[in-house]
Amino acid sequence: MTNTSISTADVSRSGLSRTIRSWFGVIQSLAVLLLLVLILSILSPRFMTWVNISNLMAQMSVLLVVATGMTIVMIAGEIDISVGSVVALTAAVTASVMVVFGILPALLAGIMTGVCVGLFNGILVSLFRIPSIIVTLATTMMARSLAFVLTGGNVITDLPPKFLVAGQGKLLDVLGLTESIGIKYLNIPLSFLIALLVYFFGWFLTARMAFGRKVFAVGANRNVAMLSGIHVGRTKVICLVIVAVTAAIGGILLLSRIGGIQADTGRGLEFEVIAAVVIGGTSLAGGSGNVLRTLVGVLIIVLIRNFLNLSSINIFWQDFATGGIIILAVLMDTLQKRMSRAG
Amino acid sequence: MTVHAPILECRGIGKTFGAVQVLKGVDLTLSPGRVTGLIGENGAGKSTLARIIAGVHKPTAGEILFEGQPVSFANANEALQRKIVTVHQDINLIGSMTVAENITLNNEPVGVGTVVSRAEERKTVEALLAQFHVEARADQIVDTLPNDVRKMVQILKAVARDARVLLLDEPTSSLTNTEVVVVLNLIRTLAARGVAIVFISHYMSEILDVCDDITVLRDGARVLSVPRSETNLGNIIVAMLGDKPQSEDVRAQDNVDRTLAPLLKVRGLSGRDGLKSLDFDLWPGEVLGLTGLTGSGVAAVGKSLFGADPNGDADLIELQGHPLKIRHPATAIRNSIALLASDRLRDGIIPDFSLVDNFALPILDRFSSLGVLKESRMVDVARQSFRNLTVKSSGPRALARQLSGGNQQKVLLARWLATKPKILILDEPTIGVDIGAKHEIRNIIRSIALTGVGVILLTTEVEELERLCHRVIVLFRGSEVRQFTGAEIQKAAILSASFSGSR
Repeated sequence: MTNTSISTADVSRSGLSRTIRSWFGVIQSLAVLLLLVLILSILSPRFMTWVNISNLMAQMSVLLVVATGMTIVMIAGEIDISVGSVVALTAAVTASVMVVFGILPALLAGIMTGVCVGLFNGILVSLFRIPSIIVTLATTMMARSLAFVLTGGNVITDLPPKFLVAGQGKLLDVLGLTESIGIKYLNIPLSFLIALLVYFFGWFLTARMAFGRKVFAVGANRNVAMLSGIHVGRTKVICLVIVAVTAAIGGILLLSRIGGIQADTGRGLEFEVIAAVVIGGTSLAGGSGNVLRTLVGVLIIVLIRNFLNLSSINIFWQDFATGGIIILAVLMDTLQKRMSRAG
Repeated sequence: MTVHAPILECRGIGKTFGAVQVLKGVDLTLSPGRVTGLIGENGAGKSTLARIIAGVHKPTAGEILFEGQPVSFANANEALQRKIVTVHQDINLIGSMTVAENITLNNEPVGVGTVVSRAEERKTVEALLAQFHVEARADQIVDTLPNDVRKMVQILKAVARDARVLLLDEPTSSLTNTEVVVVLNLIRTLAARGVAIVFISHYMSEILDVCDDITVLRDGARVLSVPRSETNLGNIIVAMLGDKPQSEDVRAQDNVDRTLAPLLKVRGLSGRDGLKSLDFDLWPGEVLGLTGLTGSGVAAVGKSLFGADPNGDADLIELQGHPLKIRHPATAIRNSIALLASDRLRDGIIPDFSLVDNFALPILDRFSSLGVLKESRMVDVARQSFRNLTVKSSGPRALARQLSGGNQQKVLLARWLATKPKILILDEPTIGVDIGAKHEIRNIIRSIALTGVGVILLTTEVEELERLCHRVIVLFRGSEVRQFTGAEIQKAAILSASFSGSR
């Protein structure tokens, strides 16, 4: 407690060690990731092929987008378990509007779906102080039901080919540069680039903007935040809108990749998303977390799935492995915190 | 009156926490049917003594005799087995459960097997309620009861354990005047039934009303122990304060011109903690002290004025002649009002945030353009500000948890000074900080006032009022009872007004 009389030598040392410690988390997760990649590439020769990797990129884009929003809402001390259903609802709305009115109105309607669900969740959480896990449990069921009503239980297809480019196209193909440049590694799936954009925006918002600091404060201690003039309720509403909008973007991306929508889409996505965020070191208690590290969580989940796909191991082991990794990640985090607090 | 043999005797009880000696050779004798008042300033050792009797702490010296036999309680349960029961200051009942369930909690009558017999539980509790004329039914939910009845349920919970020694820690501090009378009656009834009672209270009038014996502690030592009939208020206050040398005269020079229009005008301020209808004015450069005991409302003034308490309200708040409606701290901050809250951990510091993030919280928007933070400017301003207030840290990016309490408090002061306040409300600004930091923080407060800021100092430390304030208002049960200016600000007078509520 009383390190009031730190000498200058101590000062510089403790400052340095703190920087190292904060980098340590990032380095550690990267190390785990590299190890995983190494093991995978040894075990499965097909893993390190560009076809496989660009497939992975396309597959992880929805997860990355939604996990970015989830990280933000979890930093604020809330959670949104309705993202899987919102993905389905948004896809259903977008598809339904698109077949009648065209692409642009459909995209707008899709995003607005997210905004509306987010506002609905946020207002119930902030105004009536209902725990977000309960509110979003209700929206999970309501949104899923609406998706079924909208699609009538059928699969909507026949979407304009132009729209499918976002989910299926690749950078060089779209630009028409495949021949002239000829570096296949630049032929990145467009959906992954869109996901990276959202991811970058999420990082910028939390790490570089005043709003991000408020989100952390609200999650860490709502009293302190309120006494500092921060509107706690308003901040939480915005966070819940952000996560729902990322779910909406995820829904649109998924629709574009698959080329059609079935009301059952996205079931269980919320578990994968929360798993990725937690593996990335964001705590459920709020007030701490890191959007950058969420990417590591997403990668770990996607790589395990990919490995099981490529190998001959029963695919049903996938959730078992993910579950184990969640526990490992959280254990490592707890131990590390305990050590840094003791030292 | 028959004189019973004492049921519990403390002989030469001493207690040290680390290097601090909290109790020094205290004697206390409790007899069946007698109420003993335990009095002293904050930190005099009353609560520690009560906790030792209740088996929570172990004494480091002396012995306790229970019915003449030396005893040593390893924990609170062993004391409970001897029917020594404590009623804590806060009402610690479970609000969503019934009166009967609360009273018999952990003491449930056992029916067939280990199943709680509801019928029996109800019968016992109904009898108990009737016996002590408590106006509640056994099946009423505690949350629906008024304050005083809840307090009595809490006391009955102790009675239901067949308490022989009852320790009441500030039982009336959360009650209104009429409610107090009811609880005091209950205490007398219990004494008449042969319970030995220790009554810890800040309220002199209650002590004088209800107690048979009075023991006064000062700095951990017993300085007075007499039957009620042989003493009076004056003697008790002298004993409490002692003849400590008056603190060196560093009284602030009062250059406040009160003929000018006041900076802040407050009328009819109300809120938690019994605060109702407080009026005051504040002039630029003035340090106005507000003080009072627990339950006087002083603890609620800061948050009510700052818009941070949903129960807070005011008939009128006027800043430099402009009426304000403050419903959220954001409004207060925008109007150059700042509040340093008293509970540093709950309402002030975020331990896992860096110092600069803690510092900048109320003014994040002033450090950003288009929502993007100018991080390096923020750090520079924080560093400069910490240097001015001599915060000892490894730099603005250090984590707040690494700092001592005094340095954390300075960071919070820096936070609120950075908002450029015209009015600075300080709620217990030196609580829980070491002597050195205390001294520094007081100097900071003096220099803030010299720059023309109006300072409202809420404190229960009378010494602090003497040293810092130009004017002091004493609150008693929710509103002003007395005002002192300049040289009138004297410890004895302030304490006397706070304890007795007399004008």
